Amino acid sequence: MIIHSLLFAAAFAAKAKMLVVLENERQKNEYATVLNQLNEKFETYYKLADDADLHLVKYGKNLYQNAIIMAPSTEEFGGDVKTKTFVDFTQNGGNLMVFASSNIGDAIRELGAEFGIEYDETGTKVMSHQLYDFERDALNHDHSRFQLKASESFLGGSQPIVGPAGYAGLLIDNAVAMKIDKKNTLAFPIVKCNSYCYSWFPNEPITEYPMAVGRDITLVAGIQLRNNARIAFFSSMSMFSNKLIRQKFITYWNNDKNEHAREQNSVNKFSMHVFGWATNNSGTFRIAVFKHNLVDKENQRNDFYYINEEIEVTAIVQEHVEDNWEPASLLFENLWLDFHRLDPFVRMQFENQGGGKFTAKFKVPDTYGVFNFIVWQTKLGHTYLEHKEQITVRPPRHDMYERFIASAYPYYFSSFSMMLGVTLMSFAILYHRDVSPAKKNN
Amino acid sequence: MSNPATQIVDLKSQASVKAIKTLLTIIILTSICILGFSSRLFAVIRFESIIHEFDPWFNFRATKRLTEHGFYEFLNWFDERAWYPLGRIVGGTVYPGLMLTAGLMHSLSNFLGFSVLIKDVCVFTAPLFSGLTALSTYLLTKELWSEGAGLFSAAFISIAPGYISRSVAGSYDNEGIAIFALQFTYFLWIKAMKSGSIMWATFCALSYFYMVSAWGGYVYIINIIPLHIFVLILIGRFNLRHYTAYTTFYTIGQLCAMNIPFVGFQPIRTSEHMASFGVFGFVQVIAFFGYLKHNLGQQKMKRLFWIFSLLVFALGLAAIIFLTASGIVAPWSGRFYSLWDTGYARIHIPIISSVSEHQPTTWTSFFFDLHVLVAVFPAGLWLCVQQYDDARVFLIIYGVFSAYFAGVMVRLMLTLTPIVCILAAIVFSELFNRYVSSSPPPAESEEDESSPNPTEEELAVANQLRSIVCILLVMILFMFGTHCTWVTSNAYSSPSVVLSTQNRDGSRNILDDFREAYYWLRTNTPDDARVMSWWDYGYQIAGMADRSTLVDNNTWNNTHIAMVGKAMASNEDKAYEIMQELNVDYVLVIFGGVIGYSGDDINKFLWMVRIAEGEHPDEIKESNYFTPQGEYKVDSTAPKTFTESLMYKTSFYRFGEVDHGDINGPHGFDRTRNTEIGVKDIKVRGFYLLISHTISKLKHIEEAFTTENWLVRIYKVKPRKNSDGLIFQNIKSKKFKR
Repeated sequence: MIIHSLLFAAAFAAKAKMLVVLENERQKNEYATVLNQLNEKFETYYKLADDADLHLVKYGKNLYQNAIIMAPSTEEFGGDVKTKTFVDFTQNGGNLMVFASSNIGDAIRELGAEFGIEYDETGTKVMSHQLYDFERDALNHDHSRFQLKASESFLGGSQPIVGPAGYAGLLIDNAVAMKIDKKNTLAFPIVKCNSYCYSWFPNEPITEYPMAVGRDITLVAGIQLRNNARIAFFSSMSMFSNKLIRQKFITYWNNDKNEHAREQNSVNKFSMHVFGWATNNSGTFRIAVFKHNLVDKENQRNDFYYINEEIEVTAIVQEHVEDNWEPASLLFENLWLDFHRLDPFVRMQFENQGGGKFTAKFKVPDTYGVFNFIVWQTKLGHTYLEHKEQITVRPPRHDMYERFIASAYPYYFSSFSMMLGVTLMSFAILYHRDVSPAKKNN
Repeated sequence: MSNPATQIVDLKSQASVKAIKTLLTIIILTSICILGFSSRLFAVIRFESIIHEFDPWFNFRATKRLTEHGFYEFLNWFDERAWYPLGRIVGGTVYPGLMLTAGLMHSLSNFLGFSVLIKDVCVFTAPLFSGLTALSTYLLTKELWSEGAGLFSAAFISIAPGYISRSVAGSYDNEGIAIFALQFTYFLWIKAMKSGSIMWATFCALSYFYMVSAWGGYVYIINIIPLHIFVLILIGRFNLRHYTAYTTFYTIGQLCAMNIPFVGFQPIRTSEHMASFGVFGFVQVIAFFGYLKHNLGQQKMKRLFWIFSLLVFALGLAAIIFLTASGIVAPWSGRFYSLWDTGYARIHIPIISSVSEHQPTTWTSFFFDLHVLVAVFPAGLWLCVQQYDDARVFLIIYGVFSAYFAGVMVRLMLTLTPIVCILAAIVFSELFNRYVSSSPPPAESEEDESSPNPTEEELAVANQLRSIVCILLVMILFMFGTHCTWVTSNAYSSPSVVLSTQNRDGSRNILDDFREAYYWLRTNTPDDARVMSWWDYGYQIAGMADRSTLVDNNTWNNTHIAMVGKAMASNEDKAYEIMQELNVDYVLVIFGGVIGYSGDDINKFLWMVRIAEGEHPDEIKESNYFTPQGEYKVDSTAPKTFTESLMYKTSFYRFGEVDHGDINGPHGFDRTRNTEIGVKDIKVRGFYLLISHTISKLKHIEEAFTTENWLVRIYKVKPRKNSDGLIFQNIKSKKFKR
C-alpha cells in the first residue's frame, strides 16, 4: 500500500494533492464546472464529510497540500477530523477553502470561529432588494439571490487574489453573513456586500438589529497565516454551482427606468483567481538567492565588513507558477531592505533589475556591531517575504588608519626639534666650561 | 658556642657571617615562594586544573585568542559574541598585561620544549606571581626598614588570605599579577626617591607601565606617589632627589601608560589623574623657586615664594575645575565617587553596588583575611610615625589610605593586604629584635635607666620574660599560619564553576551543573545562538559554551543590562517582545532551590529590578515585587507582578512537582529560601489537590534543558506562532440572541 502510494506520488509529483470534502455524491455533478477546474490543476481526492475514512493530518504530517470543504451543513466531520484538525492542517502549511451557506452546520461554524470568522445564525440569508433575481423572486420576499456590482463590493483589487480588473459583478446566492473580528490582524475581506444588504430570516419581520448589515457583511474572506498557509472562507456555496456559473446574466427590475434590465455574472473568473490564490498558485514569492559582498571587485569579502565600506546586496525573487519557481513577474515591483542593529541604520529600496533580480548598494554605517540584513515585506495577496542574515561590522584594524596625518606634522616637527634641542643642550652643558669661577678669583 | 669563638672578631668571620646570612636569606625566600605557591594549590588538588569564577573565564578566552591568532589579531579582536548586537572591541577595552604575560610564559615554555597547555599556564599564573610578590615585598620592606622585617613581610604576604583570595591557582585575574606590579613599583619608587637616580625612576616608570597594562588599580599608584611627594613638600623635606625621581617617573610613566589602548588619553583627561598632574606642575614651581632662592638669597625669596606658590596652586586648581566643568577633563567616574560616599552607588549606580565585592567591608572580614596582622598593623604605623624619614612617610600614606579604601569596598582588601603585611612585619621584626637577641638590650635604653648595671638576678628575670614573650609571639604566628591555611582551603579554594557538597560520612559530592549546562549549549544549539542570562554568567557562557551573550561581566553598557533586567522582570508577553527585539534564542537562569545554592538568580533578582527601574522607571517598579508587608518572598504571598515575571516562571517552572524525597515535606520546597513556593503547576498528589492561585505555564518559551541538580535551567524561545494575530473565539461561550 505504502509502496503503491509512493509510486503514485512519484508519477504525479508535479501535481499537488487536494482533498475535496463534499456533502453528498450529487454535488459532484452540481459543481462539476468548479471541480473540473480543480481536477486539472490538482491531484484531487473526493471524500464525503461524514466519511469514517476522512483524514487530513496523520502523524503530524499533512496528507494533502490543499483541502476544500464543500459541506456547509455538516454538523460533525467523520473520521478523526475535528475543528482542531483544520488548525493543525493550516499550521503545517496546508491551504484551506471553506464554503458556507445559509443552512450552515455547527462544524463549519466552529471552523470559522477557530479562524476568527463569525457566521450569522443558521437560516438567515444575506439579502438585497436592489438587484435581486426578478425572474425567481418577484413575488416573495426572499431576495437572497442578488447581483453584486464589482465596483462597489470588491476588495481594492489585489491582483494576485482576484486577478486583473474587468469584473462586471457576482451573483450571490443563498449566502450566510460573515463578520471578521476587528482585532483579527491576519484575516481580510475579499468580497464585501454593498450597503443595501442585510442579513435576516427570509420572509420574516425584522424584530431586532441584524447581526450584520451593509458593508459589515463579508462574503468572501481570506487569511494568510505567518507560514504563508492560505485560507479562504466563502459565505455562499451555491453561487459556484454549474447552474449559476452558467447563468451569465441576471434579470432585475430597474426602478429608475421602470423596466427589466440585465447584469453580467463573472463568478467563473472570480472562482478561478480566488482558488488560484487560495491554493498558493498566485502571489506566491520567495527569495531564492540573497547575497552580499563588497562593491570593490578585487576584494569580494562577505563574511564581515568594516565600518564605512561600500557593499552590494543582491536578492533574486522567484514566483510560484504552476508548480514551478520562475523569476518574479512584473507584479512584484519592489523590495525593501533594512540594515538593522536594534534600530534600522539603513532602510532602502532595492533597485529592480528585472527578471526578479534586485540589487541595493549602500555604505555600511559608521557604527560597529552585529547587524542583520532584514527583508520583511507584507503586501496584501503576496506571501510574506522574510529574510534575515547576520553580519558583523568591525571597527578598522589598527593599521587601517592613516599613518601620517598632514595636520600632525607640526607635532612631528616639534617632537623632533625638541629631541635635537635636548641633545644640543646636553652637549653644551657637558662640554662648555664656565668662565665665571676664574672671574671671581680675579 | 664557645667563648673564644664569640670573642674573636675579625674580618674573616664577619664575612662568613654575612655569607651565611645571605645564604639563609636565599633559602628563606625560596621556601617562602614555594610555600606561597603550594598553599594556592588546594583548588587544583581538590577539583582539577580549571579556570575559576567569572572574569578569569574571559581572561582565559582572550589569552587563548592571543596564543592562537597572535598579538595583532588580539589587538584588533572585535568580539561579536559579546554584548549582542553591540559587540565589544576587546583589544581596546581590556588591560592586556595578564594575557600577554601568560601568553609569553606559554610560548617561552613551549620554546624551551615543555609543551604546556595554555589553560595550565593560566591556572598557575597567579600562584607563580605570588612568589614574585613575596620577593618584591621583601625588597620593599628591606628598603624601608630592615632585612628581618623584609623576610617577615615576604612570609606574611605569601600566605595572607586577603591576597590568596585573588591568587589561588585558577583565579586567573588581573589582580593576580597586579599586586606584584604594585609592590615592585613601590619598591622601585622608594629606591628612586632615596637615590634620586634617573635610572631607578625610569625602572619605576616601566614597572608602573606594566601595572597599567595589568590592572585598573594603577590609579592607586598614580595617586599615592604624588601624594607622597606632596606630603614631603608640606613637611619641608622635599629635595632635588625627589624632584628628579618624580619628574622622571611621571613623564615616562604617563607616556607609557597612554600607549595602553584602554587607557588612552585618560592620564591627561580624567580627574583621577589630575592629582599627579597637579603635583607635577607644583614640583616644577618649587624647583624653579629653589633655583631662584639659590641665586637671589633666602630672605628676599621667602615671601615671594609663598605668595607665588599659593597663587600657582590656586590657579591650577581653578583650571582643573574649569576644565572639568567644561567637559574637557572627564569628571570622576561613579566607581570613584563610591569610594568616598558608600551610599552613592546604591542610589545612583545600582550596577556597581549589585556586585558583592563592591559592598562595604564588615569588620569580621578584616580579621578573616588578615588575622593577627590587622591587630599589629596600627603598631607598625606608629613605629613608622615615630621613626619617620622621607621614605617611611610613604608607608604611612599607603597604610592610611589603603585602610580607608578597604573599609569602603571588600574588593580593596586586596590593596590593604600588602601594606598590612609590611607594617606587621616591621612590628614583629622589632619585637623579635628586642626579645630574641641574647646580647644585652640596646645601649640607649640602658642609659635612660637610673640604676647602674642590672644585677644578675634581674638579667635572669629579663631573660625569662624574653623567652615567654618569644614563645607567645611564635604561638601567635603559628595560629596565624594555621588560620591562613584554613581560610585558604575552606573559603578561597572553590572554583565556583564546580561546586562541592559534603555528605554525612564526610565524602565529597561534586556538583558539576554549570559545565553540564554550558556543554549542552555548546553541543546542542546553533553556532550563532544568542543566550540571554544575567550578566554574571556572560563570560562563562562565552568561555565554556562559546555562544553569543547579550550582557556580560564587562558591565560597560548599563542600558543594555537594564534591557535584560527588564525582560527578566516583565511578564512573559512583554519579555517576549524584548527577546524578539534582541533576537534571543535561549534564556539561561541559575536556580538554587533544589540544592540550596544561595547565589542564584532569584536572590539576585531585586538587583535586576533595580537596574531595570533605573532605565525604565515607568514600567518597572521595585515595590511591585514585594509583598504588602514589604518583604521579598517567593511563597504564596508573593505579588502577581513577581510570580508572573519571566524570572519567577523560569526558575520555578515545574518545581511544584519536586518533593526532595521527603514524604511529609511539601512539594516545591525551595531550599535556598526555605519556603514552599507560591505558584506551582496543578498537581494531584496523594489525597488532595495542591492548587495554587495561578498556574505557571509557559507561553512563549519552552524548557530546553535543566541540569542534574536544577542549578542551571535553559529555555528555548519559541518562534512566533504561525497563527499569531488570528483571534480564536470560543464558540461555546458565544450567545445567540434567538
